[in-house]
Amino acid sequence: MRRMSPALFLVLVAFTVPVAVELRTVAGFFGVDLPFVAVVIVELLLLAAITAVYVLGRIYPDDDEASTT
Amino acid sequence: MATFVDRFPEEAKVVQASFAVAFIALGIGALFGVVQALHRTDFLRIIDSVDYYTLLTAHGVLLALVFTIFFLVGLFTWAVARSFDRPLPDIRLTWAWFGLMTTGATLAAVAILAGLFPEIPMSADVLYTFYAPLQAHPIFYIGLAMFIIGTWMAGADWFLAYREWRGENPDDRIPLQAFMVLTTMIMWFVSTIGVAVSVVFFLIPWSLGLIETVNPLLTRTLFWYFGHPVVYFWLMPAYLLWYTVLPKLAGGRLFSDPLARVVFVLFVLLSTPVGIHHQYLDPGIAEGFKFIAMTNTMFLLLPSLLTAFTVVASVEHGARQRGGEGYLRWLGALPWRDPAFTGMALAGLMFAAGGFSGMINAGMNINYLIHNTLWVPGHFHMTVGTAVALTMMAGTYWLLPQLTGKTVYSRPIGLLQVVLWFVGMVFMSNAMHRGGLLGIPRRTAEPQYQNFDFATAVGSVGEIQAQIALGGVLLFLSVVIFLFNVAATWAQDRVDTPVDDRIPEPLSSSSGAPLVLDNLALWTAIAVVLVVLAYTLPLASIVTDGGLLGNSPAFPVSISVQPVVDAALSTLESAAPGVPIDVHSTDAAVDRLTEVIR
Ligand code: HEM
Ligand SMILES: [Cu+2]
Repeated sequence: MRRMSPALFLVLVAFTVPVAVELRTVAGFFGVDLPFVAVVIVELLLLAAITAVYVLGRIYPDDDEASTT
Repeated sequence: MATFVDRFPEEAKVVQASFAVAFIALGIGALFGVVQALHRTDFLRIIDSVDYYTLLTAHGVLLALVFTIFFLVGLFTWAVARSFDRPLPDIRLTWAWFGLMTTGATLAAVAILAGLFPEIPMSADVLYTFYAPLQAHPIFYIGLAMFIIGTWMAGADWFLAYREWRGENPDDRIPLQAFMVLTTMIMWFVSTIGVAVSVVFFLIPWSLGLIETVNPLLTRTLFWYFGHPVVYFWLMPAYLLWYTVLPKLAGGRLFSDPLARVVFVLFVLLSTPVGIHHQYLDPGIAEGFKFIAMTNTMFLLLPSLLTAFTVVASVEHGARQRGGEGYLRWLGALPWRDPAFTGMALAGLMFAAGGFSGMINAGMNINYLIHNTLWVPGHFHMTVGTAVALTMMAGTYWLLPQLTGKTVYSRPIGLLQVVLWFVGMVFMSNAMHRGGLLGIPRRTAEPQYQNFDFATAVGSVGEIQAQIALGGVLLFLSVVIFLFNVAATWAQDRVDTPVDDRIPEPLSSSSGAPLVLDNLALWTAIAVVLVVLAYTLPLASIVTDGGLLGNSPAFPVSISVQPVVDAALSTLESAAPGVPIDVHSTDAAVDRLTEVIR
């Protein structure tokens, strides 16, 4: 796994917010009315995915990256 | 290695002083911002709704005029001294404009805030757009005039520095940062004439009682003559940082110097003859003039799109220098740990979103949909409120060490701060845009009405309100953290090399730029011609229609409800003779109404 810096992790977390919020608007364009909890769930899923990549990257860094920071 | 403060200690003091004033205004303005956000969403009402306009005026003036412009004059002073590589001609002149601007801003702020205290016979609840018929205390306008004259003196200071430099370097290209400063100031000189005429010839005499009436449409038009260029005045310091500093922070260098010059020249030409696009709904201006303003506005998209291309290309170049690869994976190689970089990158990204909502504002027909709704604050909190304000805060993390010789107190806290701003603004401005589409008005303390609900397409009004309130709180927190970090930096001890302040040469350097780009007189002349073409006929027709001094008295005027009550009483009496009317309750009603009016 690629190793992700804590700073990039933080920025990606911030990025999930507009994605989750606007996904509902986009769905609305197509006539799909998502309830508010859907936004919360999408947000949590995105956060879980990013956290997983971050943690895995820390535990199993690529060989060539392990030496660098 | 010597940094700015070692080479130009006197200039560094002025820049630090300008930043200090800017940050004080930022702190007060942000406090009022969160109070408003919570008030109008009805989460927390600590002020009386009657005072809402006082706070809103203070918020607009302190943030959009004082914070941004004081940061700008500091930044430009830094840019002029470092890019000409010489001190300013006479530091007393520099301190003089700083003093004048600060005095003017203080007077205006005092006049506004006095409105919170009924015992002080002074107020200026005219909003930061301050056109008639709303009327402020003369001190407000006089402060504004001093502030603007101060910026003119600052411009003169930088042009004098240019003349000295030119004397010794007759054949050199103007250094890029200085070129940006000079072109921006040309635009500013051309555009502030409008507001200066409005303030000096109409608003000040009117508020002093020397003239009875004004022509409100004329003062509005003169305001917007200046009101669009001022948005570029806010934006140009951000562009200066994006073009010259951001690529360096990303690990690379600017892609093209000539292209950057073209962009700034386009802004000189096109910024002013578009102001009428803020008046699409004003009666009294013919549709044809509005159409011309719209066409010019659409041309104005060009330099911003050029900027997006050049800056992103330069940042990508930087990432590849740092070992980034792939179509998108290079993004991961950027220095996200650096709050200066991350803040500017997020600000630029949000500017793209703000640009899209700006295209809606600019379209004459779809503007009607969102005019004066909450959409508009949603738009400009992304542009001036983030693209500019966040770039300035982020830039501070790189500039302050050069100006003070001290390292930033905490870069991780800085990173958290810029990210918090981004998240807060996503919440607040997204909800403002959506609320505006539903017709929720801006500039309203209590946008809730009896027997009427805004119809929503997606989500509910309650969610929108909650999002605005949450966003406002996060933004305020971000400002508090920022101010703490800045104050703590100022309190540090000096070190030898506080920051790497070198700016590498652009990939495609100025030697390739056509010489005509540096011909400032030519661009000024064309800009003036365009302004004359765009404004002569509309102004002439406004004056012909309404007269130079018009016939509008000052607002707010106190209207008495007594005649209304009397009329109602006599109707009732004639309708039902003999039925005794409960005079007590009508008296109570009159009292309440008078209270409301006050
Ligand atoms: C703490 C962060 C901020 C918060 C919570 C905030 C909140 C608000 C709110 C809720 C309004 C709309 C009020 C209404 O129309 O009824 C508003 C208006 C405004 N804001 Fe902000 N804002 C913030 C930062 C900024 C910044 C950084 C700028 C500019 C640099 C800015 C410039 C303005 C302007 C010009 C207005 C319009 C005033 C008017 O309508 O006359 N704000 N703000
Ligand atoms: Cu405009």
